[in-house]
Amino acid sequence: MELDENDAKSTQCLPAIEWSVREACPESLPRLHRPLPISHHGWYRVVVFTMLTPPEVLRQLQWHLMIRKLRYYYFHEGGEEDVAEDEHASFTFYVKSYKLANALLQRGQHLALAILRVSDKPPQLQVDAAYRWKLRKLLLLRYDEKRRSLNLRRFYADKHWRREFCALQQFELLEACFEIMAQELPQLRHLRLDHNYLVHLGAFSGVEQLLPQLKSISLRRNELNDVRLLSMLQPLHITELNVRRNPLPRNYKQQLLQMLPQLRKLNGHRIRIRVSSELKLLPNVKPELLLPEFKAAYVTKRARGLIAKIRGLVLLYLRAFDRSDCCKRHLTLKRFYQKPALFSLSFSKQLASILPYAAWAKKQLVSRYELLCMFERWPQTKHLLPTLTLDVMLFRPLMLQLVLTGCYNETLGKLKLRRYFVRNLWLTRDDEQSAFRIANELMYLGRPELLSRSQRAARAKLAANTRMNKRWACKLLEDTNWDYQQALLAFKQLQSQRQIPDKAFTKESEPCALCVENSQCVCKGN
Amino acid sequence: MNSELKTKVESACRTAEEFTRLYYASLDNRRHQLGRLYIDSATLSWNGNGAKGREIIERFFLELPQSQHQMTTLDAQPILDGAVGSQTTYLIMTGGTVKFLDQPVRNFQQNFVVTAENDKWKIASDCYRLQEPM
Repeated sequence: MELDENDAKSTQCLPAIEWSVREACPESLPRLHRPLPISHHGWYRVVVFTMLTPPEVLRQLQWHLMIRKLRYYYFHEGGEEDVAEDEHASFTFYVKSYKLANALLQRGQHLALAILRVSDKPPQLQVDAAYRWKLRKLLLLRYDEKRRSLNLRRFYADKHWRREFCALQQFELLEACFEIMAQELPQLRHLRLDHNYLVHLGAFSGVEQLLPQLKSISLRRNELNDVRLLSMLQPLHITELNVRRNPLPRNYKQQLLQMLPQLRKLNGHRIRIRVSSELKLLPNVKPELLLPEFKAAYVTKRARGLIAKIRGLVLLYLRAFDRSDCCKRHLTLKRFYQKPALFSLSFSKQLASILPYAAWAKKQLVSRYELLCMFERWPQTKHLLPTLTLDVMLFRPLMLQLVLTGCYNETLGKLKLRRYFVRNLWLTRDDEQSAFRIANELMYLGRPELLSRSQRAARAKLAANTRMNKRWACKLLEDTNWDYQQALLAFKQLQSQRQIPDKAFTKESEPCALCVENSQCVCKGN
Repeated sequence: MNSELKTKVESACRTAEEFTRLYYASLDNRRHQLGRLYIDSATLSWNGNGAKGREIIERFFLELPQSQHQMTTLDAQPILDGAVGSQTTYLIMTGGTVKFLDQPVRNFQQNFVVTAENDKWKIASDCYRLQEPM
């Protein structure tokens, strides 16, 4: 039924003349008048070239078609820009039925002072706010939150689009969809665009930023006819792709796998990893994989019902730990521990970091008494709740494993330090009614950090602009009382006098974080 | 510390050392074999992103960028109470630095619960945390 486009055009650009020829010798040129191609989306374009006003033409049409009212959509003056012949039309409208469109094509030739051109071209839409609102509604309707997947199969045929046109084939529309997805469904993992007559994937540019979690795309039954079209998917980190039933050339799979080496599944089949000699010669294309996002909490499924209680317990514990009379920790913390409780402490490599805790390094404490005695002698702390992360890893009726990380401020004489910690807690209880108590605790303490946020920002900025390492950037900033501009000026001066040693530019293995306010570097770069 | 506990702690530390060496070698170089270090119903939380079940965990790791781990701290404890039954179970905490492809070196901490399954040490829970810049 479908004709190729050129044929369709040649029959339609001069319909009036053609009709007269046909009338003159109907037998000799039977094939000239071809039927109207069936439109993919069910919409037909009618452009009218005339000197008359639109109502006059429409009245004529209704009379010729013998219908009371011509149901038309998207009426506007002027033509459409996507096809050269339609560009200079007087006005344009669309109809939604093949029967009607065909009748218009046939009968339209009898019009006085007007030429009709009927084609299967779709409307050219402007995506305005109202349309976007509707798109958003439909996308959310089709979203499967549990599987984080969005199925837009035959989206143009959705029953909600009865009076409106929507074809993802149109660049602007698909692009608008992606924008809406980025706003509403940033967690999207699976996207199905099957059976949408897509001819190119231009709208996919930039999607890697809009939908960073997108892992699988299905493009079954579309009109993609060249492997190169799929290169738009390269910046994405998709591991599954389905391009079945597209008019792609026969050997496309090999090319596609070279283009998207991170793919694990193509057309529903696992890809066997095969290093052929041919592939080895190719430039080393490494798949670009992204680190998953940071999330502050993970709770294993079994413990989800109990999470409020677990959070409460953790907060109570930390509050007890932070009590201002820290020498009484013995009393406040006692109820959180089992009697035989194991505790061990580990540190980051730098020795300076463990000063207040050195006595308990590399020692395993085995009783609650020992443990509480130790906590009493620890510095005053203040846990910073926004920095906390909590992972509830294992849960059974009588045991619970938690991992808690975060920072606390620690007061050490006059100094106030910020310290990173990790606690791996194994809690048990005797029966389901009693409270969980800590039976095992492994604790890690990081290096303390002394600088304020603005100071750290200034240090990073100076280090980046001068290529000095952080320690030297810190020194310079301390000399200029943390004035960034002055420090930069001082750097330029010193550099012109060649007074900055080479070691200021060598990379440190780890950033120095112990530059104390009295301009001494405690860690000495260790 | 009584001698029974002492031997338990010592064996925990020995196991931890061997186990983590194997673990990080697999994580950095042989990720496709990493799944066999987990029990079937293992739980992973990677910076808060959860994965449950051996296969899902293995797939999760395969989707991470190439990494290089340098372990600098290691700590282990045996679990003494009856909740785990007669099964020997250890808590292991490791720390160090990690470099993911094209990314700066960062500090990480990882907490395992390992348990003996058919004479092999397997992970029951694994919590990986990258130290956020303070």
